[in-house]
Amino acid sequence: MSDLASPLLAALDHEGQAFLCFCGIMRRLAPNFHPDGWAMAVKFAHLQLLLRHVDPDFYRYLREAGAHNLLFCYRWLLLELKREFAFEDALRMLEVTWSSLPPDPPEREVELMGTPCHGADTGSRSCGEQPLQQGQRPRPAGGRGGAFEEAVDPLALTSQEPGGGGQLPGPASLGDLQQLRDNSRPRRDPLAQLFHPTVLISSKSLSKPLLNSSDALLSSSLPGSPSSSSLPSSREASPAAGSLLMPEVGSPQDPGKSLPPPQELGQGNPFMLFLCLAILLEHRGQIMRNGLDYHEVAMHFDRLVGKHPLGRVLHRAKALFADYLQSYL
Amino acid sequence: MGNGTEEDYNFVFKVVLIGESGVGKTNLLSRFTRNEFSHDSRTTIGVEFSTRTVMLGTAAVKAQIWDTAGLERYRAITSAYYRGAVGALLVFDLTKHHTYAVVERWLKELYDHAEATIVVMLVGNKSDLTQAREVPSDEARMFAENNGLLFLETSALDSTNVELAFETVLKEIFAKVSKQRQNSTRTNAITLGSAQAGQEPGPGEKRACCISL
Repeated sequence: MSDLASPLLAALDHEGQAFLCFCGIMRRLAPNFHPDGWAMAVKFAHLQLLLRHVDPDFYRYLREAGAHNLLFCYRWLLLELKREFAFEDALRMLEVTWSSLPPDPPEREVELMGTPCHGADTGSRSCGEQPLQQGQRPRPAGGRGGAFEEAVDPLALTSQEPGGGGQLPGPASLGDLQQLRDNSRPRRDPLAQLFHPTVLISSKSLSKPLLNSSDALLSSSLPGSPSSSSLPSSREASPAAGSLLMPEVGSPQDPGKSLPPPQELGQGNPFMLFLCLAILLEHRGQIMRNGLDYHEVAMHFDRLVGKHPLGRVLHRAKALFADYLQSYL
Repeated sequence: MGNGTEEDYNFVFKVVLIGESGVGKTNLLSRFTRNEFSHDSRTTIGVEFSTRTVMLGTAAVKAQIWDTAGLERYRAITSAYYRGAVGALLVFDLTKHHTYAVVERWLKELYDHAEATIVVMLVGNKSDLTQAREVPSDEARMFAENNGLLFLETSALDSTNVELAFETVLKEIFAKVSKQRQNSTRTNAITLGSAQAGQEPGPGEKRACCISL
């Protein structure tokens, strides 16, 4: 988790502010580190879906090589690609990525909460979890817009589609969301609280399509996942889930739309998945041409740690993301 | 044992580094492959790897070493990469008894996912911290003997036995492979380096294109 804190400290040059931002980020990413592996399994499943959708040939190749589980992308998904780029590039990449996320401002002011972190080990855990229990809502670093405005716009349009898979909590809908959250909060169990950020980001999210599609996908494509069998029960166990899980009209179940909608894809950070996809596609030619096997694919990407050309990857990811968003308009 | 060039080798041996988090696996690897040690290295997530080509007699052996995360939560990922390993260094921190106490569990996990013929060395790391030792040498050596493991104590920090540890494992693998090859040429007329599609190459003999015997 220091991987996620270090860019904040470098950018803000202020430990207090960096800590608040870190807590904000961990509200969204704490599930990544949860031992049940559920959040990571969903991200793997979504990335697999994306790759299969965008480049079926490459996906088939990886499947034949036994590498379609994309396990070599584990660190990418866990740390939102932070380690994959050189530090300066990682700062820019994270700024672009995080600024694409819907705003998630605190109710009044950022509450300081929780006991101070003692020791590295327990500290990292409490920083991730205590904010959730006490409802702190610091805003992630990087505001909305900026470098990523173009890509966000189609996303905003999607939210205006009648019944189109839930609204993104833009400023206009923030009040409603607040109410939604306040109403549901007392009934949440701790697990649901872990997923709280996702709930906010996707508004009426955690919808059935996610459960249905990921459940089916997980059981078919991630048989070894320790969490796949517990997925439905853990989600349904949340009493709040029922109140938030509103069936969406149209979007995700349309025959032509085999991918989860933007508010579900990547569990609150869809663009990060497109960065992963772009990196994969940057190397698909080399991988297929050289007939790399299961191990060699992993080694190939391991060699590239800190060396990915950010400009190219961003450019490609944006184009892929735009195509995807178009399909939801 | 000298260094060969990266691309000129006769064998590729896949070796995995396993053991609890914080015992020094990543630093053992960086000491062996780059002669580097970092006091503040970050947690390994999933798997990372490094290679070094060494000469064993006249054969150039490329050690392809997979450094795995020790944290429990990454276990499903890391064990997926044990497959095909012909050697393993099971590392514990000799100043932290609990990292030694779970060695048996690591061993079981390794045998669950890798071939039974895998060469395993038990490695007690951080031997430079003499005052803080919690695991007696004799106890660990005894355990290793009883379980058919090689054993060494190392210090990635001051380089003690690091080279020797990897070298010993590689030599042991090499001996096994050589013996296997002799047997196969005696009983069979298959020429070396002719691994065909669908035919599982022997340990170390990665694929025909990598063999230049």
